[in-house]
Amino acid sequence: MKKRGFLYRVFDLYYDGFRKMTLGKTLWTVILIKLFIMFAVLKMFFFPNIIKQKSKPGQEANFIEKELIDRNR
Amino acid sequence: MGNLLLAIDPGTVDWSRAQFALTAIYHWLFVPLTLGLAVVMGIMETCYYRTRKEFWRSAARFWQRLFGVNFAMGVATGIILEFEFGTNWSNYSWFVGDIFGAPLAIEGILAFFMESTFVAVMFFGWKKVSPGFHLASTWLTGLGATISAWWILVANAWMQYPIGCTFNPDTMRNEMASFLDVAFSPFAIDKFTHTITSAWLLGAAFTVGVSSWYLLKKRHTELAVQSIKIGSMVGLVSALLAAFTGDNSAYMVAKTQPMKLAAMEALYEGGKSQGLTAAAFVNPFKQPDYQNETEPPMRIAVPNMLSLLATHSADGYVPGVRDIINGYTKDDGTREPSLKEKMERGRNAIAALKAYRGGQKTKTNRQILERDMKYFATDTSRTPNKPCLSYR
Repeated sequence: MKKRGFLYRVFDLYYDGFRKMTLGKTLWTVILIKLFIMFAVLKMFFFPNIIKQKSKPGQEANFIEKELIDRNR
Repeated sequence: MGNLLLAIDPGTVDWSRAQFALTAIYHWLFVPLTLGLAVVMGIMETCYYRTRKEFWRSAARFWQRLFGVNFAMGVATGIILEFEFGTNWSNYSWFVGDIFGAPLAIEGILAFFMESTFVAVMFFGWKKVSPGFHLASTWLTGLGATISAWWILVANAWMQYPIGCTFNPDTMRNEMASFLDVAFSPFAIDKFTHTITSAWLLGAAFTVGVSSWYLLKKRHTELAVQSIKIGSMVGLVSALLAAFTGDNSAYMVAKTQPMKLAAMEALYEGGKSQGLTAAAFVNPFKQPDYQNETEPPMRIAVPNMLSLLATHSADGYVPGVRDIINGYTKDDGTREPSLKEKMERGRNAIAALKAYRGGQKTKTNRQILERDMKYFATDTSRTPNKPCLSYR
């Protein structure tokens, strides 16, 4: 039998492994759905980059200072 | 939405804590079992490698399957935790990110990639790589998970016992002064050794539990019996190691976070030769009257045991909640300031930082910051540069 190259064997390991997966497919689906919700929904719509929004570039320290020292509570 | 998130009140902070705690608890359901099962399946595959009996191969594959479910759930729940450092604790991430980010980055780049690479060989490579390479991949998957736990616990230990850093008022960041101090903090070493040995113990208990169920159902009897043998051996060794490392872990807590120990042990009034509370009626819904009561109701204690565990001396001094609030003198003669004094020094640090940031970059303000920064925000819920538990 002809010995295949290293890269082909690495590709085949993953391709064949994922193709024959049974229980793992469900787990991967759960993980992918979860990652989609986190990065495409929560990150995009609910968690803006507050420090970046509230401070000028290079002036982030001033925003943190205000948060730590001057915040009313 | 931005303004809503910025309007941080204690309620929001509490909700952030609750969310993070919930995620961490959920993540932690899977991690120790993954670490423990890694040892069990590694031993089984080693048996297969040495004997080449088909039985050991299918036994290893059975436990690898359970490992895989845990591994996947651990990954899915763990990613959220790192995500929450940015969403829930962005100011904190700025404040200490230079130090805190390093172990997390090493964990991701080195350990997680290592375990992810070899876990693929372990699951997909049974017929594609040599038995020796497969065995190495199985053990390296477990080793990668263990190294991963090391760096996460380094980050966690630094939060409990921050060392190897200095606060730079110009950048408003804590900066790393010594990577080795952070990476090999005594607190981190104790946390790691105790966590890992406890995880092995859990893996062993899980193996014995699942196998016992099979025995009761009279299914897969040989798998169950052999698994119980291996699980029992792993369990015995790890139980002894967990007891030894647990002692060190509690010793470090007593040394660096006495309030945590006093709260854990419901020790209102400390002193020398303290007993270990075996049972007591502590109302979880009410704050005890530490200033007027001497101990919780119906307390039964083992004489001198707490002093022995906390100081490794049967008559060592262990401070109680009241002592820590009022201030106390340690066994070595050094005096620990009272809570009131720590709060005062914390306010001094806040005032000095405000003055420094306002342009008064004097030597005096720098000295105050160097001396009192560890008490910064002791009286508030601002971002702490101190161990997570208040007024240590």
